[in-house]
Order: sequence, then structure tokens, then C-alpha cells
Amino acid sequence: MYYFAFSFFLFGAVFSLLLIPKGDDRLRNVVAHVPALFGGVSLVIGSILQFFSHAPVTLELGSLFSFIDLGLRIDTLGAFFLFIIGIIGSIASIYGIGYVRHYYGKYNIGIFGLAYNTFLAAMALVASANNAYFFLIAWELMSLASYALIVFEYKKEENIRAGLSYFIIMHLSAAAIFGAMLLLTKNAGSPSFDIFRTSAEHISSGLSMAIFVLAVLGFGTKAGLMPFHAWLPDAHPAAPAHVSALMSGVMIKTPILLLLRVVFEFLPAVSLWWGLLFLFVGSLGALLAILAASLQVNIKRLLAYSSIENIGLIFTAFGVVIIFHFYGVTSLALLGLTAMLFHVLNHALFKSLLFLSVGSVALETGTANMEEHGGLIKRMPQTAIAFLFAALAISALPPLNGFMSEWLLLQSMFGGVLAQDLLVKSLFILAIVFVVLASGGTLLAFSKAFGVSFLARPRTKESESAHEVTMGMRMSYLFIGIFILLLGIGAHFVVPVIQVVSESVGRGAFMNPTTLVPRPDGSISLAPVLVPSLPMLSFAVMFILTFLILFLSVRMFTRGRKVTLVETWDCGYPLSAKGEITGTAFSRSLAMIFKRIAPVKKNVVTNEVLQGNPYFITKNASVDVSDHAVTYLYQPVTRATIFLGSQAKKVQNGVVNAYVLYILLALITLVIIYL
Amino acid sequence: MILFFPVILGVMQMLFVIAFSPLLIGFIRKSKARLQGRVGASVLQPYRDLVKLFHKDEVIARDASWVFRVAPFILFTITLILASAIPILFAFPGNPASDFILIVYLLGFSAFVLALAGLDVGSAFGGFGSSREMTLNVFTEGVVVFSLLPLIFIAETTNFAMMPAALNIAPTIYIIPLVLAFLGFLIALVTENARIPVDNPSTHLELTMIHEAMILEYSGKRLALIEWAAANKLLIFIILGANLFFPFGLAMALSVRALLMAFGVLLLKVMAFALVIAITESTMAKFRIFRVPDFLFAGLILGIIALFIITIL
Repeated sequence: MYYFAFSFFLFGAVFSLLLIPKGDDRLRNVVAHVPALFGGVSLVIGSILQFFSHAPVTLELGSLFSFIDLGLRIDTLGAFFLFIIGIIGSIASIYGIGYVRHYYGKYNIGIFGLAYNTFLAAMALVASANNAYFFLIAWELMSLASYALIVFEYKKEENIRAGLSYFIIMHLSAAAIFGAMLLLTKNAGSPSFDIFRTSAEHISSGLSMAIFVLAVLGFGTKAGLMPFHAWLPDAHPAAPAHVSALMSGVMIKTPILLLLRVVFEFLPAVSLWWGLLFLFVGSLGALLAILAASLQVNIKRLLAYSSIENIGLIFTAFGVVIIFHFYGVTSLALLGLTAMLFHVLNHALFKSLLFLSVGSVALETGTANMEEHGGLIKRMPQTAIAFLFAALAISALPPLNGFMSEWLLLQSMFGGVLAQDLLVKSLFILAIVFVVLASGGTLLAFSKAFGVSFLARPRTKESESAHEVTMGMRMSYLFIGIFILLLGIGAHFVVPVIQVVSESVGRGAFMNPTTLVPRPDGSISLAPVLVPSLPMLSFAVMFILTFLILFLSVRMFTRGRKVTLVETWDCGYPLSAKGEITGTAFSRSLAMIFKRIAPVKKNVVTNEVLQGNPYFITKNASVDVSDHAVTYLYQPVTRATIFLGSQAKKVQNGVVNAYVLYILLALITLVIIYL
Repeated sequence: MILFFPVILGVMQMLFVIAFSPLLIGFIRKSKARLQGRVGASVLQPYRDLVKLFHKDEVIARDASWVFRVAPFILFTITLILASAIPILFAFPGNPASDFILIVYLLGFSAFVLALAGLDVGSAFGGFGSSREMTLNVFTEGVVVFSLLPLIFIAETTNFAMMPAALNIAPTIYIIPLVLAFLGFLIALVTENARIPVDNPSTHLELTMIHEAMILEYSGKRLALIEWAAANKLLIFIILGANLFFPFGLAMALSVRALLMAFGVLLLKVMAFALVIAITESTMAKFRIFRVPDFLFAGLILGIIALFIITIL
């Protein structure tokens, strides 16, 4: 089945390539998306089939330059990620057919099809490559294809800039990953992941630490872990909507898979501080990211920051897993790992739904700036419902899927509070504070996003005249929505399945949890238990029944009451869109409360109407929202690099005599060394 | 029959809460009036208000969408679910909603829905009310979690049905952390229920108001539902505090005598809470909005200290 998937992607890419010089836009669109759709579906079927057979699948695609073995090995964990890639890939492709239409005649969709299919295939290869060199090629391919997609709308200058920063940061991250992979290869004596697994025991603790640090720098950057996230809020809004969905939902999860492999399969034993680091950085990053998200007025940037928050939560869970694994509390480690993998799946679903629905909004209104939206719930009702549904899910509101993974995460973290070590205990408590505050922040960010963009009155003519998007695009909402609902209310059945995936991670490290005390009602005691789950189905039934009974009885008792529609009362002032709260104002209180850490600057420019008269003035105020990671990490590094470069230029002064001197000096140095 | 037991008991708890919550509001208002030297309206006045509102025609803003129309029903449903989930007179297992984390997120859900309803009409009032509500909610959720977490760690379960019994036999050594946690819980209670000193439930024209600003456009039956839901929520919080921090007096068996006893004890506990609220509201002024986060942080820190002490002991 996997062969089919790769063949479909290859077919789509090659055929698109052929259509680049000449071709009908409609044909190009079909060629770009239909093979991708089938490829995605084959990935889903393949991974489900594999889940029933349990055995790892190996595929040989030959070899490159005779020393790079193009072998694929798909184990249960890999299949889980292929499932995510397939599901989002196929649904995004359905959406893409409608979305790409607005590029007709403006951009070459052949190029898009080439990059899109390559991107999907590269992600699948990254999840399944079984050889370090092959993996690095696939990784690079994934970065390049996504770069091409980010700058696809090349006529917009900000996209080029976003693409450039993405390109540079991805190669810095790739450098770190190359380092980690080469160290592993050197130790194992072979680039094969199979040999990595068997020779993990020979890695010394110093080498192990070096590999871990490199892997975290590299994969953390790609995942968008705070503070290495600077590329993400620029890159995601630049790409076409369904590509943003794939990038945010799927691409930034692939480093998580590789990091799991490195930590639990390729390295000999985990250290406690790795876990503590992930726990702290992840949870604090989640909180800071969601604060940043709340301050955004560009709705796509808001979603991008929310992705960083969710990556933070995933890393928090990762930290929990490492800590419990270190202490040998297998059952809680398993609980944390299940929470982590479930959250990876959940976030892929609701974040892609958010990006798709926001993509439709941006398509109709011509902007992603929420200050220019408003009232879209009446003009794009189904898109609004899709966004609201995904917003409820990402805010972890029961009974949708986001709640379930957050529940599992919190339950596993409660176990950590009981740790004997005071440092570990304090960090767990701190992490719970951060996670809980972050979930409050998510509610703020998404009530702002939905409220300002979709509710009340339109603020511009474009929003006023927005229409619902095509049937195919709306169908894609429906598919993701169904998955979100099923994963939420069916958590009782889904969680055990994900537990099976978790148990397969790492050379049997999560098998046979030590102490199992499941309780009959599904509740959890703080003593380590087998992955518990809440009966969300009965909760959902209870909620809906209560709602219906309430609704019908109120209707029955108040049947005779009239409803009059009038203008909103606005203190007697004439009603206009200016009376509504703006996105900036909505998060203003939060920015005031966190004024020490919120990267918000208000600029007021005062102009005198009459020269020299200080009493008649006009004021222009604007609010700048920056990012501390850019200001305090990336910009200093950039400045330092430029400074070093300019210093190095002094050596390269173009005088031949000086160069001869360098050669002489080098010779003397070499002679001295060898003597 | 056994299978339907939790359902029947859950429905009875819902009815219990919606029947008595207006009385609680009436009682608090009466006590406040007496404390301030007024006669005050009858304790049954909230019932009359509800009946009056249910009989009125409705006026709805033209800009409002279905979110505005559905929100009161969802808010009321959430309070009903909460009512069925907490231990009131008799703690029984088997309710899928009796989970601590679930309840915290349900509270978040109700804040979210109310904020959207406030934004939906597009008035400046509603928008700012929503903004403030969601901003404070960032902290409130933390205060609720950390004021109850110490109890979770004593009871060793996140299931509310199991907690009172486990807490009832908790060693007395926990008394100091429990006092701290209880102070945190009181802070959560006044914030979640929009009471003084965080918000004022009886003003309509104050620029610092939060809850009332969001519901400004409601009238008729939907306003009645929202007011009633707010009353339910207050009663639920008080019962939760009464039964978890003072876990004595719950019925151990389902007999009429035991339930009546439990009812009597609960009545005394709820009245004590109501009097505390009435006294606070008569003696304190409302905080400035930007002072409220400090207040909430204090609640959060109290909970964290309590949690620390309990898990170390």
C-alpha cells in the first residue's frame, strides 16, 4: 500500500513538472491535487492495515551512489505518523482543488503541484527512512519543497522575506541534525537505523549528551519549540492555506517522531535533566507562545503562535515521559507518551481545520488581518462553524478531542508532583501552573479570533461582500470535523489504540507497565495506573440530552412570547463598525497585566496643528507587537555573524603580497606542528 | 435498575440545584440588606423575577447571530451538568462528568460561550466585558485548579464521587494547608461568580463591570436563563466548597432519614457561606480591574503552597 502512496506522489510531481512550461490551469490543478489525495488515502489505508498486522514493514527502493541505501522501515510509530500525514494530506488536497483556483492566470500551478507532491512524499519519507543519509536527503527535500511553497506567491514581498528566514533557519537546524546523525553513524559504523538501534549501548555518556543537544537544537527548531520558533509565525501565513495546514498540522510534528527515535532508540539511556529541560522549556514556551498568540491581529499569525504553544505542550509531555522513564515508573511514562502522541494527532486535526477555514476567510476578504473582518458568521456560516468547532477543540473543551489529550497530560503530570526529589516536584508544579494558565490563554486567543473575525458587524466592504466558499472546500471541513468529534467522544476506544503505539516506542521501554491499578469507574488514582480514560461518549450523550430537554421545555413554556429585532444599543451613539471592540483592544488588558514580558510597544506620534501651539494637536497611535526570541536571540546572533564577517573581510584584502604572507605563515605553522 | 441509578440521582441533583439557587440569591440579598440597615426584598424575590422575565417578550439585536441565541441554553446546560457532577447530599459514582479536570474545563467552556455572546452583538460594552472576562479567566482557571489540587492529592483521586469519603478521614495534620487552599478557593469562588471585590452583580452602568456588560443585550427568557444559570453556578461552587473542605454530614446511605440529616447540615453550611459573601460584599469595595490579577495571583500562590506542604507531608 505504501508503494502506491509513493507512486501517486511521484506521479503528481512528475506530471506537474511536465505541465510547468505549457498547460491548462485547470488540468494543472487536478494533477497537483488528485494524485496527492489518492496518495494520502493510500497512506491511511496502509497504516491502518499495518496496525492490524503489527509487524514493521520494510521496503527497498534501491540505492543511490552505491553507498546510500534507500531503505524504508515503517514500524508502528512510523505508521502512526504516516496515518497523520495521509489523513491531513488527503483532506488538504480536497480543499486545495477549490483554493488554488484563485491562482489561475497569476501563478504557475505546475510549480505548485511539483512542490506540493514532493513535500508530501518527503514528509512520508522522513517518517519512514531507515538510513541516516537517506533520512537527511528526505529532510532536506522536505525543507526545500516547503520553502518553494512558502514563496509560491512570490509577487508579495513579505513572502520572499519569510521564505528567506525560513530557508536560513532550516539550514541552521539541518546543520545540527547532520551533526547528530554523523556522530551516531560514526559510533555505529554504519548509517543504518537498524545498526543505530543495536549499537546504542556503546555510546559514551559525553557523546550521548552531545547528540542529544544537537538533536534538540535541530529538531526543536523545525518543530518550532520556543525560543527557536522565529521562522514559524512568518512562514505559516505566507504559504497557501492548505499548505499552512500541512506545515502546522504535520510537518512540525515530524521532528517529534525523530526526537522520540533519537532519545529512546538511538541513545543508550535517558538523563533526568533532559526530561526536566523539556518539562520546563515546553511548558513555559507554551505559556509565552499563547500570550504572544493572544496579542496578534493577523489571524494566521495567531494560529502559528498557537502551534508553537501546542508544540510546547507536546514537549512538556515528552519531558514527563523522559522523567518517568528515568525513574522506572513505566506506567506513568506510558501515560505521558500516550498523551503526547494523542496530542500530536489531535493538534494535526484541529490546527489544519483552523488553517483551512481561515484560508477561506482570507480568500474571501483578501486579508488575514482580523481588524478588517467581522460579521462573517452571517456571510460564511459553514466556515464559521468549522472555525468555531476547531476553536472549541483546540481550547480543550469537552467532549472534543483536545480535552482528552490535555486530560491525559495533566493526569500524568499530577503523578510527578509526588516525586521525592524537591527539584523535580517543584518543576512539575511549575509546569502544571504554566499548562493551566496556557489553557486559559488559549480560550482568550480563540475567543478573540472567533469573536473579532466572525461575530458582530463587518468592518470593511470586502468583509461585507464575502461569500461562502466552494462545496469541495466545505466538504474538507466536514471530514476533519468528523474526525475531531470521533476522537473526542470515542476516546474510550481511541486511547487504548494509541497506547499500543506508545508501547511500541523505544526498544520495549514502555512494555509491561509495572503496577496496574485500573479502577472500575475509569477514574485514576495517583498510584500509577494503566492508561485511564474518561467515558466521554456518555458525557457527550448526557450533555446533548440535557441541552435538548432544556431547550424544548423552555420553548414549550414560553411559546407565546414575541421576539423583536432591533439595533444594538450603543449608549445612544449611531451604530457603526467602529463601535465594536478591535482585536488589539481585546487583548489590551492582557498586555497591560503582562507589560513586563509582553512584547508590545505603543507608539504615539503627536503633531501640532498650528506650529508652536501645544494645545491643538493630532495624535497617531500604533501598536507594535514583536517577538522576544527575535529581538533577544536571533537579531543579536545575526548582528554577531555580520560583525564577524566584516572582520574576516579585513583578512581578505585583495593584496597579493598579503596572500603570499598567509601562505608562508601557514607553511611555517604546518612545519612546526609536524616537527 | 442499578445502571440507571447515577442517571436518576444526577437528574435529582440538577433539580435540587435549580430549585434552590434563586433562594440562595434571595438569601444573600436579604442578608446584605439587613447588614446595610435596609429591610430588603423578600427572599423569594429572585423567583418572582425569573417568572416575570419568562413571561416577557424578547428584544434581540439585529446583528446577533445564532451564537447569541444559543449561548444562554449552553450556559444553563453546563450548570446542570456541574450540578449533577458534584457531591450534594450523597456521593455516588458512575457520573461521567464527576471529574475534577473535566469540571475545570467546563467552567472554561461557559466563560468562552458567554464571551462570544458578549462579542456577538457588536456593542462596545459587550466587547469589553468579554475581553475582561477572558483575561481574568486566564488566571481564574489556575486558581480553581490549584485551590482544589491539594484536596485531590489527599483524596488520591480526581473523581468527585470518591473525594468526600476520602477527605473525611484525612489526618488532622493537613489542617494548615487546607486552610490555605480554602482561602484560594474563596478567591476562585468570588471571581468565577462575578461577586465583589472582583465584579459587581448589581450594577449596570459601571465601566469596570464584567459579567453584566456581556449580558447587557439580553432580555426576556434568555436573560432569565442567564440569571438563573449564574445563580446555579454560585450554589454549585458553595456546595462544592462546603462538601470538599468540610466533608462531614453527607448521607452515607440512601435512606430518607440520612438524606434529611444531610440536607439539614448542607443548609447550615450553605447559609454560612452565603453570610460570608454578604458580609464581604457589605464591607468591601470593588477592586480596580488591574488590581484583580494580583488578587488572583494571591489565590494561585496559596494553592501552590498548600499543594507543596501536602505532598511533602
